[in-house]
Amino acid sequence: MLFNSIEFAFFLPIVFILYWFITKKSLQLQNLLLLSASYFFYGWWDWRFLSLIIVSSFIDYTIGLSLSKTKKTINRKILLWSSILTNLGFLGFFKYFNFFADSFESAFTLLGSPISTDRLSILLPVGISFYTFQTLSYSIDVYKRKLTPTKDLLSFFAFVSFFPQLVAGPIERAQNLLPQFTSRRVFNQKKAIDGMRQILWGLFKKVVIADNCAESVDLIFNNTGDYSGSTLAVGIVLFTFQIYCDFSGYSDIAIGTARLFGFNLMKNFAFPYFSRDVAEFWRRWHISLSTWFRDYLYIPLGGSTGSNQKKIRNIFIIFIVSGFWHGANWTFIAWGALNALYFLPLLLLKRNRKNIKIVAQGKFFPSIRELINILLTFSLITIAWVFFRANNIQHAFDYLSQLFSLSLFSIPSVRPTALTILIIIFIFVEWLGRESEFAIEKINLKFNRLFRWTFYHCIIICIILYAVKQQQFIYFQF
Amino acid sequence: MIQFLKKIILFFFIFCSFIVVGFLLPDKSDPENMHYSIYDKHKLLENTTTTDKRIILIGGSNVGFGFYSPSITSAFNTKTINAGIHGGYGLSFMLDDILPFVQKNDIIIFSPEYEQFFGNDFYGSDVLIQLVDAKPSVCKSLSIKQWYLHLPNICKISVLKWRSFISHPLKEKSKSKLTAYERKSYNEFGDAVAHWNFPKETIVEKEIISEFNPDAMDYLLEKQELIQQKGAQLFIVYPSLNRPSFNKNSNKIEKVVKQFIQKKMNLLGSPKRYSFPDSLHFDSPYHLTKEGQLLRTKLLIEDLKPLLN
Repeated sequence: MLFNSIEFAFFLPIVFILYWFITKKSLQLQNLLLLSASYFFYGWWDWRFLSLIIVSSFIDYTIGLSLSKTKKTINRKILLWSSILTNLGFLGFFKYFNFFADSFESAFTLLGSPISTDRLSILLPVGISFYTFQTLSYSIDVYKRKLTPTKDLLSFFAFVSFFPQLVAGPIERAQNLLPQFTSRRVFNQKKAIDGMRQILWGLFKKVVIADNCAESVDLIFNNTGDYSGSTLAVGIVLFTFQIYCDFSGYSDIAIGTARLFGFNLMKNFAFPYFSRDVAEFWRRWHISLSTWFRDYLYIPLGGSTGSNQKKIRNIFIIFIVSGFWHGANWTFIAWGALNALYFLPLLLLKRNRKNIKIVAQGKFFPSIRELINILLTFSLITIAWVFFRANNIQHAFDYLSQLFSLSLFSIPSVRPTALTILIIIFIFVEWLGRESEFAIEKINLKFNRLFRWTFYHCIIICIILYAVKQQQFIYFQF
Repeated sequence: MIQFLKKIILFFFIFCSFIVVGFLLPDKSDPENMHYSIYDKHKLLENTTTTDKRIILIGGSNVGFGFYSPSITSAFNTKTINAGIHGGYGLSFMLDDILPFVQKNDIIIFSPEYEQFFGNDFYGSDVLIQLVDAKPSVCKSLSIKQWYLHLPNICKISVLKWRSFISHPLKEKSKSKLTAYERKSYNEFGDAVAHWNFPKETIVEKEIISEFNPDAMDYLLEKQELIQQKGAQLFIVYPSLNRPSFNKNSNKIEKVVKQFIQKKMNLLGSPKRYSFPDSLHFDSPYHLTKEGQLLRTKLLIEDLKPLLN
């Protein structure tokens, strides 16, 4: 079920009413309702893949309990590796099998002894990369004794499959989300209203900005050879907004929905396009994944300590793995590697933690220097997105070579005027709300109800007016 | 909690009222727009009181922009009516709309766009809701599922009507020059011909993204039976999808063809035979230029000849 579908518009209020009215008195009943609703939500796509979630949940639940009873280090390691191998095994099989088969074939062909490998017709289960990482973090935290394993089977299953964030995150840590399932939730009107507002803003980002950008982006990327450099520049800038609004829009809806049920999910985006350097961008983009890799991969590898050689190695590993997490394609690996190249100078010059606070805090305008840095970072990130969006490496290079040709200075043939105006308004609203949890959290609060409601109704009308054919969220494919 | 629910209900009540009022606002759009051509097409279908054989072409715009009926009329000495208007009306509406007019001996040639068999396209798009303004009785023919699926479209059309109402509260929309998509764009047989004098446009490749929906095929079979019960025959002819889009969607097209064969439908020609190069397309992967329309008509006549003579 998609957040931007009519089905969800019926599903959400029904679950909400049942949750706060029918099952309110019993935590177990509430968790059972959430679990059933989550399985229903997921099964709407393909009920067969529910078995994967159930198996994955059961394995990690059992391993968690076993870890609490096992004292011997070797046994604990075996248990941990069983969890890692099972979860990554599912992920590897469903997501990467054909990629590895292709890559082996190409490698052997290059070496002069061509081989033929079988391909499997595998459907990628929606959200597998997200819930796999969520359950993995539970096992790792229990192994590291950072978390006491839960004996409450229902809470654990509900934690793994919690529908707002099941298919595209934020990738929650058990330490943050699991305790919320085991303690009583109390309805908080302010939190619920905030949740509704965040859902509304998420829908605006997805339906108005991302989906409309997608139309021009698809046109330009599918016919790269037919367009001038300037049109390709339009294409990649629009994709930059598409990917952000699509994914952060999803996160906003997920966080807002969770708030309606009394849950707090972690922030996943913190206005990344206002970053003043690439390091800041990576602290603000897909925060739940970046911090996951930081805690479970980068720091265990040694992080930014040790020799420069080790630092460079670690940075490349984390960015390439992060790229590969997005999909079984060399384009994602190249995207990760390019971001590592952007990041490295900052790390080596110890300037990677220079911009921690949000830009122009407490001020309306940024300084000229800040503005230049924002634009420069935005440009670098935009160029990297070419690899992310391209069909293959060759396509990405063709796109870039045509982009940086003399035709870059011609008039673009694709000029979505209305969309450009909407994007400008969107950037303005995001700028105004950059010190909040989400853009429209505090905007408009000082006005009376008539004004506020008119503002929200205008957003809904915009969503209706600019809705194009329902598009799936990009991150579902990851 | 109750207070929260009251607020939410009030908020959405205001919104729903806005939508309902907007939907009921008088239509300020041009009464000469394409949707009103449904009246002309119905007149063509009604006017033929003869019990002689008639050839009726139905489908979306690939039919309106895809045939030249005078050639078919003279080839078979049979009255031909082109009833194709817009693919967005959906396969279910196209069939439901034609059924009351079907007479004994009629030859119904149906050319559904391939998308009709994927996703929910066969229930129609927002265009079907736009038709409600031109022909309010369409409301009665919509099923509950269609109303449900069209909820976002109803909201959209309501907002658009508010917009046009606010910008032109009293005055009628000024008439601009003739376009390819108007009531006047069709000839007396129902073929779109106005665009014959217009310059050709760039054809954007089409990609069918949704999954195959067997309900569309079942619906078609069900209506085929009703047509046969009236003593008429139903033939399927493939739509005029341009070659690049055809190649891009070949797997999906194959799936549709397999179903047609499996269900023993009366098929004319092959999908490839009716797929044309971009040079014969006017402005979309389904709309043909004059040359394209004449060529497709010639092919249809060739395919029909062994069956009708």
